[in-house]
Amino acid sequence: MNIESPIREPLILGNKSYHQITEDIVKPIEGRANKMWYLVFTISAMTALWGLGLIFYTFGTGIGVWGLNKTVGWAWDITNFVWWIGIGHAGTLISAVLLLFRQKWRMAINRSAEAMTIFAVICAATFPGIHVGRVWVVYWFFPLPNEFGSLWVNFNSPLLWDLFAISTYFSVSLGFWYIGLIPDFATVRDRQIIPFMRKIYRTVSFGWSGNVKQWQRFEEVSLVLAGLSTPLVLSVHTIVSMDFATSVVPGWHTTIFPPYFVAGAIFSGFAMVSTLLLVMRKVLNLEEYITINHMESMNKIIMLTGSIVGVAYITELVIAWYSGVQYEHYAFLNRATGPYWWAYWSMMSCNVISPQLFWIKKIRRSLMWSFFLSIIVNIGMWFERFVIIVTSLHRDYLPSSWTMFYPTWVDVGIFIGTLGIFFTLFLLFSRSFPVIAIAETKSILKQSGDGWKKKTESDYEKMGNTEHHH
Amino acid sequence: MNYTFGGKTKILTIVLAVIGLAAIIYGAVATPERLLPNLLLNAFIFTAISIGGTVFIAVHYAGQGGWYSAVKRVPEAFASFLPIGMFLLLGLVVFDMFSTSETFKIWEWMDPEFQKTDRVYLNSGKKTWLNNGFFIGRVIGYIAIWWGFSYMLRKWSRQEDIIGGLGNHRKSMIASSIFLVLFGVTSSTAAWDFLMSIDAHWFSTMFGWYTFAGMFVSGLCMVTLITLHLKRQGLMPWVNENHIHDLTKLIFAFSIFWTYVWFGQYMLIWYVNLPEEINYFLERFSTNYRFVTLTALVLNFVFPLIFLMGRKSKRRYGYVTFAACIILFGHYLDWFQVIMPGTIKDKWSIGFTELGMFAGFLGLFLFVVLNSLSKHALVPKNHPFLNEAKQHHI
Repeated sequence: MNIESPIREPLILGNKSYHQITEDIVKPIEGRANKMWYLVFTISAMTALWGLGLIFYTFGTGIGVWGLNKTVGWAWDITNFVWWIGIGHAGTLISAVLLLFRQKWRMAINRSAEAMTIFAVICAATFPGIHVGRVWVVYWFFPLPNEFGSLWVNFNSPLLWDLFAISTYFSVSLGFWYIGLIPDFATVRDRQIIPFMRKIYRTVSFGWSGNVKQWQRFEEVSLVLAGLSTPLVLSVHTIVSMDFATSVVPGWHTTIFPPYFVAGAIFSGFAMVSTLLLVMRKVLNLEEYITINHMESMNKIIMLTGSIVGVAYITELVIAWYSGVQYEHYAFLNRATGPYWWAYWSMMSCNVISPQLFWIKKIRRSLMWSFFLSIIVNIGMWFERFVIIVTSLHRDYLPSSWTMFYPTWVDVGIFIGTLGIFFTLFLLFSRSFPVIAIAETKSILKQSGDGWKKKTESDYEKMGNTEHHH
Repeated sequence: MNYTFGGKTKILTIVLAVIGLAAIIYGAVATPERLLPNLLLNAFIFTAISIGGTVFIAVHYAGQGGWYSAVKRVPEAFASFLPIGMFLLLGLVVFDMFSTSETFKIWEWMDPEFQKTDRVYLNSGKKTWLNNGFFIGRVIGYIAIWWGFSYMLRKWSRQEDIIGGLGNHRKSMIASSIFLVLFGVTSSTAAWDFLMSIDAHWFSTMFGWYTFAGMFVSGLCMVTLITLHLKRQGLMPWVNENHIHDLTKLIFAFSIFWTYVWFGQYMLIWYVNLPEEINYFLERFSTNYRFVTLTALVLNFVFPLIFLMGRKSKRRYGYVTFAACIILFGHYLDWFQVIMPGTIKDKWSIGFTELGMFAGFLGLFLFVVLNSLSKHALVPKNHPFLNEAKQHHI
């Protein structure tokens, strides 16, 4: 038996029964969407279409429609790529790392966080794909024999490692997510009355019957995949950081980059999960499953990772000053006081200063503040990548090459378009998938449900030899 | 049921400490240039272990961990050694600043001649950062923060035994969060100060987190070893293989984390091959130090990866004891190759000076910590998560 101290807050409110949990979570799939959903979906889909249009415009006209120039050859595209990949980290972190740490509050949020991961990685993968310009030979990314193209990839290049890291990450995340979904799909299947829908859910649930052997294998696979995903999720942003850190560009080549990028990725990912969940819990009436207690835990992680990122920023600054390397010294001086100072200070205030507000319990447990700050963090993390990429590039070693980067409407449009793609996918997900892991949530009802906790509180006191408290 | 510190264990720790004293005297006479670097090495390692224990407690307070309360009295006792290790570090710093001796030397930059003539020193932030007064001030700051918080957390934990209630728990949660923030900064700066500045021209932004990883792993190893020692005495019956499993899991995880930061630092410097950075590793991979560097890597990475991956291996007391000893020695070697190339260069050796002093510090550490453990109950009986820890099952 797994017992829980009464001073821990319950994770499931409303004195639920097992049946009620199923009812509550499956409801959005079985019911009809309201007007609000259609409205938001239409806006997202239109934005996505607009972004796709601009992507085709880029293919037709060439990369020249972006604001890149001979000195700044990487700007919005790679910024967006890193931003989206970073957002994708939270899903795996919640599903794998928090599983290994036995954090029960993950049960309410892992499903939607994993979905978000997958959609974010899709958005991220768009950017290197379209940056090649000649999308019809995009398969040259892969190490294919020369008869498929004239280029053999460079195994010494971190960009290639990145390709491997992200494709592995995407496949394993997808597998992990899908396996978790199987029992829940079976639950939906068993309740469906529309024959066509029933058929679909029967197919996707792979004939799950819920017998003991299946559950046993399910648990084993989950644990193995969690073990595999943990190093994978760390490797992805590690290798993204190496895209920069293996260069000799001041501000990019610094050894703290790998863990610092990973911390930043988790930071931005949690912020995006917060943003989405705060809306979702309201729209789908899931406030009793995704409670303020859950939001508080997420906010604590945002505060922690934000502070880790802050320590990394300060470390970079101090070591650049300490090192005596004039180029490094200049790169950081230029970030903070050069022509992009506003981007640097936006990054600093959004990422390091604003999460410190979560030290205050009232703010940490306020839905409005959580929502507001999660957006601020998302903005800050976009600026972080912009600052790292553009301010380091626009001041070349050769002062005659010094220049500025200005985005064009196509740059901006494609980025907004990927936001559209992301929200379109997420909205579709929220109406056709069980957005909370039903089976997993049930597994903690008789530990962390409020009804159960009330019933067993006195047992807990009796069981120990403690004579305390309150 | 309290722990009584006496008999063979007490004699053993005293014998070890006496061996250490003999090694210091022997070292001062026979191998004088190796004396101070070894004092630094051992003082740093046992300080790292002690503060690693406090970090273990603070992390679990802040994250509301439950299971750890079964063993938390062990790392709490580490706080007794902290002032000894840290004041020794301070003593070494002060001695080195005022000593004019050519033989007894650790930090090259403390030489007044270096501070007047070195081009890099004079043309960088080093002139300000590595300034005698500021440096001593920082070391005193580390003592105040690290010892202060360790002391308070232990005090409140003991108070909780007597008065019960949730007051001490809440206070400890807040103090732990504040400590973790301060430690997040000072663990890095202390690593730069005590270790990175030995190679005065070298710098690496990863160095702080690399040192932190080593600190935490060593602390965890020692918590596990002492817990298992107490279990062998028939004490702590509420601690079972589930708790040891979790402790070993953390050792495993943070050994991998250590490797990750080690590799991140090494690979990026190797790949880019800048003269001001690569020199550090050229020295450590020269025929002189290659053996130590690679052995440390094997013991700290390959060994846990292979031997601690499986579930069963984390649950056997004898096996875990062996593994924790190996990893602890691995970190000794790792910090050895951090300190020695910049101080005694090619004149290093592992002889009686080294092994004797390590044994001596170990004896002293165990004496102080076990003595402190024997003075208080091993169970934090009013800890609000104690029942969870007693029922812990994984």
